[in-house]
Amino acid sequence: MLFKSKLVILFAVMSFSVIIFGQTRDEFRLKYGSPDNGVYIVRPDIVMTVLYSEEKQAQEFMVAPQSSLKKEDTKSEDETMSLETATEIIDEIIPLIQRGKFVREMVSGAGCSSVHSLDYEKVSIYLALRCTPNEINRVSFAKIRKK
Amino acid sequence: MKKQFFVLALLGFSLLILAEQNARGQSGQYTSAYSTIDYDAATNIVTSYSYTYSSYGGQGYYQTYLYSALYDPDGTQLTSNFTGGTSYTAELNLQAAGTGCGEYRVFSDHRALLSYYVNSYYYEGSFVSGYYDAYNYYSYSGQIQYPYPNAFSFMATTPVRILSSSYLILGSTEKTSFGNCDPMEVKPAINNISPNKGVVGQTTRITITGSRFRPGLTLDVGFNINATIVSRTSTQVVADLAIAANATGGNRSIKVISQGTSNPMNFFVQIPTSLKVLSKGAYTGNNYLRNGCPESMPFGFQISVRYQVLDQNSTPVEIKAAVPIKENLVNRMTNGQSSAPDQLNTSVVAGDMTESDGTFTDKPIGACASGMFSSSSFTQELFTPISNNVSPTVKTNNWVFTGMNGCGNMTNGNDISVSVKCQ
Repeated sequence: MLFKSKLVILFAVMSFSVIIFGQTRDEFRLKYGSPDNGVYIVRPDIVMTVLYSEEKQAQEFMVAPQSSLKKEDTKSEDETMSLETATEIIDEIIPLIQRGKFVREMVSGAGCSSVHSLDYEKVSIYLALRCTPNEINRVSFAKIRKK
Repeated sequence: MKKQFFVLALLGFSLLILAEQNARGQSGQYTSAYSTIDYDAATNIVTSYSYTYSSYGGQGYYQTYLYSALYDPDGTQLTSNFTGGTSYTAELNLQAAGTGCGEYRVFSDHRALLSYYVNSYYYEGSFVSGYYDAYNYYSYSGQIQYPYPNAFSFMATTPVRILSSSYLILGSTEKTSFGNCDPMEVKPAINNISPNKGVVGQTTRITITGSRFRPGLTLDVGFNINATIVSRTSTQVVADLAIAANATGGNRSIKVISQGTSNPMNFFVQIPTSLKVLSKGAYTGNNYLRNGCPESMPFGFQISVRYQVLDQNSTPVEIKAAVPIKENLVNRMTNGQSSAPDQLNTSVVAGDMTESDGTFTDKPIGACASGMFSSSSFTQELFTPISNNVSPTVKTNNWVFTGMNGCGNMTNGNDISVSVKCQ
């Protein structure tokens, strides 16, 4: 009986994990449409690439302006997105309730570039920030990584 | 009767001989719409003139007569034109295809305001003085210099009856009746270029001062620099030099080309190669509470460093957006673990611009966190993306934190070390 209860608990935890990180290509396709060469368009001109595990579970998400992916560098504000938009997309991909316990928030960088990292129990979220002449930070890319 | 016949026959024979000799003479004739000049082809000495009669202006105006004679000891073809109008002016253009110097003599029937011009680009004309000669003609004469072809003319600005102009020797560098005739310099000359340096990847507007800058001139600025002339006067040229990102650094010889090539003048192509540390200290931004960190992330600290961009000669370089200083932030480590993705080829300063003296402040540098951490480090590579093939690193900072609780020390392992006091 005890063993059965443990199994139920384990199954419940596993199911919850699948809900969090077990998003499959089909689910993304349902939400964002068919990918173009593995790239989902999550907003006009903003795309998301997903790295999957061997078990075909989503492991890492990269969200960036479409134009910035064509080049190695970011040169203009057109190749960035607002902090609000990036946060909105991240919340879509991994809602706050699914991230686990909050561990640490950190900002590190130099000059015009910095990374704002949000460390949770189950996931790390990185926002690569770039300053602008009007001193409003914009996001070059956002990365969500499963722990 | 026989004797008379003999004399007549001898005379006729002599005339035939003379005629034959004349037929063999080395004479030539130059004709234009306004004049006919007979000259000895061997010596180029004018033997006779014809003239063009023109009557302008109708009743009440002076009639203007023109006699012209031109020759060139070097055999250069000369042309003669007479232009006039219904005004009191008459112009005698004595034009030469070549350049050099010589002298002129012009006669008119009375004194008039007569001026000459050397080329149409520079108004170098002046009223020429003269005197009444023994024939009561007014004689003008002097030495002229011919810097450009087809550039010399006389202009009478009051009614005048020009009887002749002669003895115009062009293309000669020899003595004239007025002494040594030093040829006027034809080639353009550069006295100064300002500014005399420019940065790769940028366009620099330069001002070249000098002399004999004529229309249609070109600039020789060397490989991988494109010159666009913005404006020109006889003594000043303003040009935009678009220096390619992969242009070779160092001195370039700039020359002005217009009827010859000017003296060269150096223009230095700058490549940003180093950053000089001017000052450094704890960063305290307006929106931060302690040591540059926000209230929500009180652990850690941030510093700021003021740099000056220098070129290969250690001369300050103003950086514009076209050739920014970029940076890579890599190998972020916190508590011994990778703590953030790399950021590559990003801007160092907002707008990618420095002050005019090449200075800029890199701020903030460091890390702030909501919780304590024991160690932190990252590498900052500052470089200039001057071309696809060449990206010289101008500075590498291997930042290491010691003491992360809102105070401590931060060093790049080289020439920057900042201590941040605890609050």
